[in-house]
Amino acid sequence: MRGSTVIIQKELAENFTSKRFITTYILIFLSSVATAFLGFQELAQVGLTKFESDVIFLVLFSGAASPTPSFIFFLSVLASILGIALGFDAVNREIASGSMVRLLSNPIYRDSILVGKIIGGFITIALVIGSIMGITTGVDILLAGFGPTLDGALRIFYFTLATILYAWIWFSMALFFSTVFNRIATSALTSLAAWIFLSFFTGMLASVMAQILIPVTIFSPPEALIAREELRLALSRISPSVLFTEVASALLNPQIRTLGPIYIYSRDLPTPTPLTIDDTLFIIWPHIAAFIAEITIFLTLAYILFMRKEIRTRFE
Amino acid sequence: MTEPAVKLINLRKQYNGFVAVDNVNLEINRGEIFGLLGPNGAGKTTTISMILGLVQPTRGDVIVDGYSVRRNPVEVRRRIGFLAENPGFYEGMTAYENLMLTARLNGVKDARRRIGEAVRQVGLADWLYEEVGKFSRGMKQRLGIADALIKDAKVLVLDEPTSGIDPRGAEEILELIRQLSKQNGITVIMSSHLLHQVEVICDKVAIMNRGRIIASGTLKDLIGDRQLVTVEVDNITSEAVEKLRKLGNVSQEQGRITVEAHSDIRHEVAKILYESRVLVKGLSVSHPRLYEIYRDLVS
Repeated sequence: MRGSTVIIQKELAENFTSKRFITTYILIFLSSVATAFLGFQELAQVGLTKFESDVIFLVLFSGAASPTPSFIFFLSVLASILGIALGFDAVNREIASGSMVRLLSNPIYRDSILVGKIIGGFITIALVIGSIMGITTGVDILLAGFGPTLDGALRIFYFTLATILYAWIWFSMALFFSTVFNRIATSALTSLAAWIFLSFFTGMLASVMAQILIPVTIFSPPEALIAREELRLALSRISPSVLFTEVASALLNPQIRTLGPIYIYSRDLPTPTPLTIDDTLFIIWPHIAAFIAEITIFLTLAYILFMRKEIRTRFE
Repeated sequence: MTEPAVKLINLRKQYNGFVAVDNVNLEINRGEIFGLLGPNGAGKTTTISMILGLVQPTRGDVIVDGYSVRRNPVEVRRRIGFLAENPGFYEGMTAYENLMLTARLNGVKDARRRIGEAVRQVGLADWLYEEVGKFSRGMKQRLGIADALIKDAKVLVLDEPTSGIDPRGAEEILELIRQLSKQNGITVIMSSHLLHQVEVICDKVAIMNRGRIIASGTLKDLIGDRQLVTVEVDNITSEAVEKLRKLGNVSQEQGRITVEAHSDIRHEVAKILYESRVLVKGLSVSHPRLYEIYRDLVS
């Protein structure tokens, strides 16, 4: 355990002082504050009275009033970049620089190095996203002149946790690639390619595959249309970005009552009573389970590969 | 008789049918400086990796200070300091931070004092709070030695420690290694291609080729009774060379002939050259150097 604790502290010190981290943090910070500010301006133009008083604060986050890309969109992009930036060279950089051999020639177990790196990365991500959410909420309170209700505050809290989990997925995936590939450039490019594919092309691919598997036309019966839509949604949910967008939408918009096929058609319709946070958590629980499953799969694979990896003092 | 500091027992490493290290047996005594020599691909790095417990042997074992690397890799690593050609320090951290990391990984008590003492010993006290990225190669190697001192290593494994360092810097590092071995009783295992350095510093050597130890012992053991008789001549006939070949191995180089034999053959050489009417300008006898032994064995 001592080994892991020392490695965690080393990772935190390295992360928080690295230029890469500082640049990413500034980028996320500026984007978050800017979208909060823009969101408030749009909201002021639309008129505060259009929204229920319980959800008005959350609108600043969800961007429901704004034609510009929402805070959720920026966060989904930047949180994934943060995760990848912290993970893509976590293992192979240490091997290439010789520091892995130096660490391993000390009286610690090999797995404590990987555990230290994982926990160090997780803590860094949690602190970054936690602090950004805190700052953004503070900016929103200053701009709006009022704070969220208890339900709203809880929703922002759970949204923060979901965002942290979402960034952990990308970190775990990048860490896995960093264990698979010895070259830093290869793991970086593979991580980016996987991110681009999962974030921007999974939806298209899911539509095509669903149409191939359940061909429908405008004359098809409603059951067939729903079955195809269910399949399309299930396939597109392989992507963490799709899962995150759905989770974020449900958490920041209490009026969303389902994330099934009718979610797309129902999300803009007013509902008589907004859902409580408990009800929303019930809706998003499968998504959170999927987040945890994806993290577990990547970390397990990374662990197995790392433990089997032959790390020599020098490659002749 | 005391137990050896490091013992390699029937050590073997095989990769998909390729045998990198084959049945290596070695005993390295406490306080000894031991040189591990061999051409590229001989199996030195794999052997060192197995001593450190980084690579699992296919067969056999390594015993360090009484601990088996198979059963107790952590205890083995507690006793070993390792210094590679590239010491693997975090370049963005200061020397102090790097050394403190080692101290904490080893649970060293009173780490501050130990770090202070170690950097004084290696002559880096003034650089303690500088980033390692600013250090020269030689300074990094000295910091690597300080790293081993902090964990109070019983065995120091060095893989090409002076590679890429200027001759003066290399000499300083070798002198430091020799001092530490004498003062602290540290056993040193050193892999190097620089045979003249090994010859000066090592008490014993082992020469590896194609995964096997082909010779080991003190330099005296390896030389045995081999002697080199070198004569300087103006012109030499092929007839004389043929006669000299009957005494031992002959090599010719710009007016200089060397005959290698297992006894003092100065008299016989002189006699052959006199009878062949070859003018001898000089004659000397010497023992072969490590390089010559290495060349003969490896070729």
